[in-house]
Amino acid sequence: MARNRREFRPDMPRNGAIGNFSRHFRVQLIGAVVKTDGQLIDEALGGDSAAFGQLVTRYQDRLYNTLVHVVGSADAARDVAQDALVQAYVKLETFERASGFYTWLYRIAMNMAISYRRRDKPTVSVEHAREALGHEPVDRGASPTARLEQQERACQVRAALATLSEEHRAILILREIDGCAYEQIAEILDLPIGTIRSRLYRARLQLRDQLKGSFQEEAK
Amino acid sequence: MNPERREEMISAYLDGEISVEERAQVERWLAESPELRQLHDELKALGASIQALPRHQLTQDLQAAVLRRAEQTVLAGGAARGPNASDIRPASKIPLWLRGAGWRRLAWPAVAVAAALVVMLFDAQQAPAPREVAQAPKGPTSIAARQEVPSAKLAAEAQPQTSAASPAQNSTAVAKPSAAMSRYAATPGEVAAGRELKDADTSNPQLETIVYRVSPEFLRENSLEKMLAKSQIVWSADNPADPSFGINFKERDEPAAADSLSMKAASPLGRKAYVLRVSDEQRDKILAELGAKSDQVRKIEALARSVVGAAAKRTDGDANSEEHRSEAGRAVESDKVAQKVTTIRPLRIVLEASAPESAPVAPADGKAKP
Repeated sequence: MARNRREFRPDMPRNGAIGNFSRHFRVQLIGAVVKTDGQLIDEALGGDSAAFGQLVTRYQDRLYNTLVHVVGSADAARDVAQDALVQAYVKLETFERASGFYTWLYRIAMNMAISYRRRDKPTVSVEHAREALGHEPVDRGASPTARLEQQERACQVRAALATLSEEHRAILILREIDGCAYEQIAEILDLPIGTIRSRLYRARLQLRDQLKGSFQEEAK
Repeated sequence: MNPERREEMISAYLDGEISVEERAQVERWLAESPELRQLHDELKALGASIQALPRHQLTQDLQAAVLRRAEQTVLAGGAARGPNASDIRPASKIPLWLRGAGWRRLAWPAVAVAAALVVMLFDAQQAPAPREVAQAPKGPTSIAARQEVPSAKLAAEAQPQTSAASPAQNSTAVAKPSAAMSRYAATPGEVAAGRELKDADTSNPQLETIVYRVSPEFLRENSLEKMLAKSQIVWSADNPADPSFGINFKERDEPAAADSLSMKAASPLGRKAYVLRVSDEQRDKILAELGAKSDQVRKIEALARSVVGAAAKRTDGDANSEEHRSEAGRAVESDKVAQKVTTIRPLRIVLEASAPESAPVAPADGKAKP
């Protein structure tokens, strides 16, 4: 299997912007004083709850961002993220460290998110996506027209994502938003890599069909 | 190779998740087939659109809430008996009466019903009946009922009873544990309902608070934390930035004393506050351990009782507050006996460092109990 082109590393934000690279480099420079996940887990297991607090701070935003896309609601994403972090702390002793802490945390969170979605299927519409997500972060540097288009496109994509099955959406988000390798997605969702590959393909086709008009134009 | 398989390989090709041989194969297809090239371009644009979705950031740090709920879960035995992660639903989606696990789910309503029966029994014989307390058995099933408990408890404790042990008093003492537990204890319901009840811990005006004057070394070396770890007591730091921090001080009826406990006045060398979740046995043990370190630690005062006293004073105007404090103290003791087996209470311990030469000095209000 070829190496993934976007390696998934919790301490290195994706998108490769200069700012991100600089931040990553800084983290490496002060790496001597930044505790690793393993060290923090050891301390948390030794009774230092503040150590787990550092893990929460380290991963909560990334986890939350992923969950917003999976569950389609900011409030629900916050609930699920909090529940997952609580569960991770309570079950920390059972973490065998065969995978990264973040992968393990994601497994807990994704199980909860998929259960949540199955229980509380939201209405699928652009308007609903807009309302459920509340304030939409936008590119402040863009012109007003470009910002409007950007928002509109984001709402269309979200509404299309919401039409996918829970499994297909979760795989697509883990791949495209988090940049997870197939192997990591397989660990998180407890599925064979072959299944990840075929589901990802089907998810993409479904999404493409939902957004056919706009993407055909863009592809040209 | 069937068309679907080829398209699937193009999807994997975009992700860089194919072997070298497969890559060469896909690149040949793309060179030969306009349809596959179009699919490739569409899927690539699709990926770019998803990746361009704006990132969302939390508007609040989850750290404090996560640690608080995790501690409650551990205290309630969630670590050992809790459901699998995959079965957990967001707390806000679970009906309150269904929260918890196993026998506890039935145990709390059973305790509540038993308490209600006791109250009703005495209600038939005695008047006036403690009606507020009689509502308390709804506790495990109703947030509203739970929220009524503090006023019920304070009102019951503020009754100007002069006879030693009237039946009505007994009924209050027996019924109160369920009311008090629904407020204090880490019940299964509270574990899952951490969000609703999170403020009940540190903003609770009845939260027992004990203030110690300690040596700077004791504070600096985190000696209390070590003692708590040794005794396997779960605790969290009481955050001074939290608006609920020090609410006990504000609630007290001696403003001068409240001032003396402000961080600036009383603690030039530092101050730390901890909220413990302890059983009565654990509480007694840790307080005894602190008491044994008389060379480094000195108890200044305990604040929960004064809040009860203040409630009595507010209710009864000119009545002798000392007498009421002792009444309230007896009621609290009755609570403690009845709850000894299962109740986990929050206990706030405040450590204020003082310079070695000023260690024996009493606080400004002169209320220190040597």
